[in-house]
Amino acid sequence: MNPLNLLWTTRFSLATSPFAVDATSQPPLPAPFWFIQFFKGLGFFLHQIPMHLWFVGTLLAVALGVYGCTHGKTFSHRFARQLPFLIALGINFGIVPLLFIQVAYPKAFYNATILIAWPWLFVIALLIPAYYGVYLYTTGKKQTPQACEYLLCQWKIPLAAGWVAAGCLTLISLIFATGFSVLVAGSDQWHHLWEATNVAGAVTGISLNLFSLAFWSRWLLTVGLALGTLGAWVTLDSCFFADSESDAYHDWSQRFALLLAVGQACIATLAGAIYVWTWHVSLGGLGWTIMLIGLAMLWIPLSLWAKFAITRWNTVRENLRNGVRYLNFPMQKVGKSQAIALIVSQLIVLLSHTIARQLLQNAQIENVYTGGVGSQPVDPQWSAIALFLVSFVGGTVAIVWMLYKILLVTLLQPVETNAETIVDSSTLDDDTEQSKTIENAEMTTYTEDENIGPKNDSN
Amino acid sequence: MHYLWWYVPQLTAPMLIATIAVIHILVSHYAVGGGIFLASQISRAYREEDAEYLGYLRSHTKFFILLTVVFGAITGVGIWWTIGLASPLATEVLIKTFVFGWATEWVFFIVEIVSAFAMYYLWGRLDARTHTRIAWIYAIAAWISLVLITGITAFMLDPGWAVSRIESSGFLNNNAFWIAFFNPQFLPQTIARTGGALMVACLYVLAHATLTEKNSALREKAVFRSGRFAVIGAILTFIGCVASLLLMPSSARHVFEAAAPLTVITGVFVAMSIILVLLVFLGPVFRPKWVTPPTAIAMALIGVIVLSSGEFIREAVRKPYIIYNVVFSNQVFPNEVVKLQTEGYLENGIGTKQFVTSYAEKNGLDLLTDGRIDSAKLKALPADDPSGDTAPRAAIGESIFMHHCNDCHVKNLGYSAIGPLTTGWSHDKLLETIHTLHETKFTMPPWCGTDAEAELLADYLVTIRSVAPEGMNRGETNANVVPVKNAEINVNAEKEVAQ
Ligand code: HEC
Repeated sequence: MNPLNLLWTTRFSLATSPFAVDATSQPPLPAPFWFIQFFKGLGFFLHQIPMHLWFVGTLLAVALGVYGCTHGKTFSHRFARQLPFLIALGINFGIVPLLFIQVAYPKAFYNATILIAWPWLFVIALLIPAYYGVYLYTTGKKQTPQACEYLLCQWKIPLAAGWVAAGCLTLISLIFATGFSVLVAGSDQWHHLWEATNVAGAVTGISLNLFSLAFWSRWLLTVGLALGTLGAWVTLDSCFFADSESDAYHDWSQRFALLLAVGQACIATLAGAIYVWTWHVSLGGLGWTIMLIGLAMLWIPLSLWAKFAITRWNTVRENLRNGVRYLNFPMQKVGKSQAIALIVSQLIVLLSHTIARQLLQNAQIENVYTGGVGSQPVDPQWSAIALFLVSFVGGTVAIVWMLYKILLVTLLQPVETNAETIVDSSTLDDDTEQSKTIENAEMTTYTEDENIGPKNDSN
Repeated sequence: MHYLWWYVPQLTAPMLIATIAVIHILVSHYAVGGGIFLASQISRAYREEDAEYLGYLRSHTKFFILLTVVFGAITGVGIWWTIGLASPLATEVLIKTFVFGWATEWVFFIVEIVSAFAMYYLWGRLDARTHTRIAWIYAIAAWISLVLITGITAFMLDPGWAVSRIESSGFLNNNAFWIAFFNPQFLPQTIARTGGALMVACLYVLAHATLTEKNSALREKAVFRSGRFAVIGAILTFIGCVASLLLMPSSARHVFEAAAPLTVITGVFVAMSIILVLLVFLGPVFRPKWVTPPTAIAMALIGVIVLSSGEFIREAVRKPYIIYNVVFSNQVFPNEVVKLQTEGYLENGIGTKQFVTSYAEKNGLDLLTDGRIDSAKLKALPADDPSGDTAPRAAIGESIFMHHCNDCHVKNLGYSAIGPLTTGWSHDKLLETIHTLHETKFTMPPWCGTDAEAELLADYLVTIRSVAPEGMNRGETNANVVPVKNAEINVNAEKEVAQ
C-alpha cells in the first residue's frame, strides 16, 4: 500500500475520475432527498444506541466478569442478560440506514463496498459467532455474580464464547469503520485501492485501508461515543432497574458511568479532531460550525456529572494517591431526575453526531455525485410512502401496546423465582420442578381470568 | 458496467447470493410457518387448559427464537449484503423501485422481534389472552413480511406489466411500484411460500419434539398436530408451484428443458417433494408413533433438499437476466446493448475503462483517442508485446471476459468454467460463438461489444480453453479440413505449456 494514502494527498480531478457520475442525470429518487436523509438518520440514531452498547459493552462485561471486583461482576451479570435483546434490536434497526443509504447514493455505496467485498461480507460471518457467543455466555452465567468464579473454573466454554463474541464484535466495528471511511474517501482513494487489487479491471475485493488515519480516527471516535452511551445505559439501569442491588453497587455503577463519560469526552474529542483534520471537503461556514458544536457536545454529559455528583475536585496529589483508575472523587448520589438529564444529554450527543455525520457524508460523497447528492432528480412514490408510513404508525402502536403489557408484567408482578431471568439455564430443561411450577402458575392465571373463553380465541 | 465488478474465483459472485439465499430460506420459512403453528397451538392449549402441551410449546418457542430471531435476521441481512456486492445494478433498480416495500417489511420485522421475545420471556407471566394475542401478532407480522418480500422476489422472475414502465435510463418509472409488486408471479409464489413455510414448520417440530420431548404422549400430540399443518402446506405448495409454472415467462420454462443440470435438479425437487408428502401422511398424520429421531432427521434433510432445489431453480430460470427483461446478468440494461455494440463495452464500464487506460499507460501503448477507447487502435493491437512477456490482446480480452462473462462462467475450474466448455474449440468457433452468444444459448445475454472487442475476447479465450483430449478414436476424418484446426490447437497447447 502506498504510504502516501495516509493522507490521500494525491487527488483525481473530478472530471477524469471514472467513478464520478452527474448527480442530476441519475434515475429519480423515490422520495424527496430530505425524507430519505431523515429516515436514514433516524434509523442510524436508533441503531447506534444498541450498537454502541454491544460494541464496547460486551468486551467490558466479559472482562469485568473475570477480572472485576464484586460490583464489576454484578454489572457483567446484569449486562450479559440484556445483551441478546440489544443485539437483536441493533441488527434490525441497522436495516433502515442500510436501505436508505442504498437509495441515497448507490453509485458510492456499492463501489466502495465492492472494493472491500470480502471483509465486508465477513461481517455476516462474524455476526453469527458473535450472537450465538453472546447467548452461550449469557446462558452459562448463573443467577448470582459469585457464580462467575464457578463459571471461570468449570464453565470454560461459555466464557470462551463470551471472549469470542467480544472479539467478533470488535472486528465488525473495525470493518464498518473501514467500509465507511472507504465510502466517503471518494474516487481518488478508490482508484488507489482498485489499482492495488484488480485482476483485468475486476476487483478481488480484498482491499482494506488500514493504514489511513481517517479510518483509525473514525473508529476511535466510535469507541469514544460508545463509552458514553454505555455510561448512560449503566446510569439508566442502576437508577431505574436495579432496586434489588446493594447500595455499594449503586455507588460503584455511578463511578463507572462517570469514568465512561470521561472516556467519551477525551477519546471522542481527540479522535474527532484528528478525523476532522483528515477531511478534504469544503463544508462552508455553517458546516464547520456544526462540526465544532458536535465536538463541544461531547462534554455535556461530563459537565452534568460534574454538576450533579462531584462534590469536590481532588487535588493532583490526591488523585495520584487514589489512582485515577477509580476516579475517587468525593461524590454524591445522583437522583432519578438527574439520571434522566444525564441520559438525555447522551441522546443529544448521539443526535448531534448523527446530524453532523449526515452533513459530512453528503459533502464527501459529492466527490462521486458531482453537483451534490441533493441535486438528484426526485419522483416520489407517494402511495408506497403512504404504505410505509401507515404501517410504521400501526407497527409503533402494536409495539407500544406490547411494551405496555411487558412493563405491566415486569414492574407489577416481580417474580421471585428464576423465571425472571432473561435467559435462564433452568428453562433449558423443561422437565425440572421449576418449569412445572411456572406452568401451574400460568394455568392459574388463565382460569382466574374470566374474560377468556373459547369464543374469544382467534382460531 | 455501471459498477465495479467483484471477481470471485471458482464460484462467481452471484453464486454467493444463491448460497446465502438457500441457507436463509431454510430458516425464514420456519420463522413464518413456525409462528403460525405456535400461535394456533398456544391458543388451543390455553383453550383446552392443557398445561403439559403448553410446556412443550414453551420449549419449542425457545428453540424457535434462538434460530429465527438470530440466524434468520443475520442471513437475511447477508442476502442484502451479497446482492449489493454481486449484482449492484439490479440491486439499484430494486431498491429504487421497492425501497418502501422493504421499509414496510422492516416495520414488521421489529414487530416480530418484540412479540417473539415477549412471547417467550414472559411465558407464564402474561395472562392467557394477552399471551395468545402476542403470539398471533407475531404470526401475522411474520406472514406479512413473507408476502412483502415475495412481491419483490417474484418481480425478479417476471416483472410482467411493469416492463412497459421502463424508462430510457433502463430504470423503472417510480410510479411502477404497485404494478411491479403485483406481478404475475406474486400470487402463485405467495401461496407456494406460505405452504412451504407450513411444511417446514412441521419438519422442525418433528425434529425438535422427537429429539427433546421425553413424554411420549406429548411428543405424539405435537407430531400429530404439526402433521396437519404439513398437509395444508403441501396442498398450498402444490397449487402455488403449478400456477407459478403455468404463468412463468416462456424462456424460463425453456430453461427447464434446455439445461441438463436443471432438469436433474427439477427431477430431484419433484421426487423429493412426493416422498416427503408420503412420509408426512405415513408418519405424523396416520402413525405419529412411527416418527422417531432418525425418521424426523431424515425428513428434515429431505425438506432441506426440496427447499434448496426449489430455490436454486428459482434463481437459475432467470438467466440471462437478474431481473427478467429488466437487467441482464452481466449488469447491463437491454436498451443499452446497441450503444455498447457501437461505442464499445470497454469504454462504457468503470473497471474496464480504468483497466485499459492504465494498461496502455504502463505498457506504452496508444489505445485512446480524445480520452475514449478507440476501436480501430484495439483492432490494430499486436498479438504479442515486442518484449514478449505480455500479450496485450489477451490481457484486454481478459478484462472483457471478467465483465461480460464472469458472472456466469469462471475461467478454468469451477462453476460453469469456460475452459472445459470450449475444449478443443478453434479461434474461429470461439469468435463465432461470441458474436452469436444469445443464439448459442438463449440463457446468455447478447454480445455487447464491438467487433474489435469480440476478437480480443476470442484471443483471450484461446489461452484458457482446455486442450482436446488425446487418443479418441473418431474413425476416419476428412484430412483436408480437420488437421488444420488440430494443428492450430496443438500450437496453442504448446504455448500454454511454455507459459
Ligand atoms: C447469464 C449468464 C451467462 C453469461 C453472462 C454468459 N454465459 Fe456463456 N453460457 C451460459 C450458460 C447457462 C451456458 C450453458 C452451460 C452449460 O450447458 O453447461 C453457457 C455456455 C457457454 C458456452 C458453451 C456453448 C456451447 O455451445 O456449449 C460458451 C462458449 C460460452 N457460454 C461463452 C460465453 C462467453 C464468451 C461469455 C461472455 C461474453 C458468456 N458465455 C457469458 C450462461 C452465460
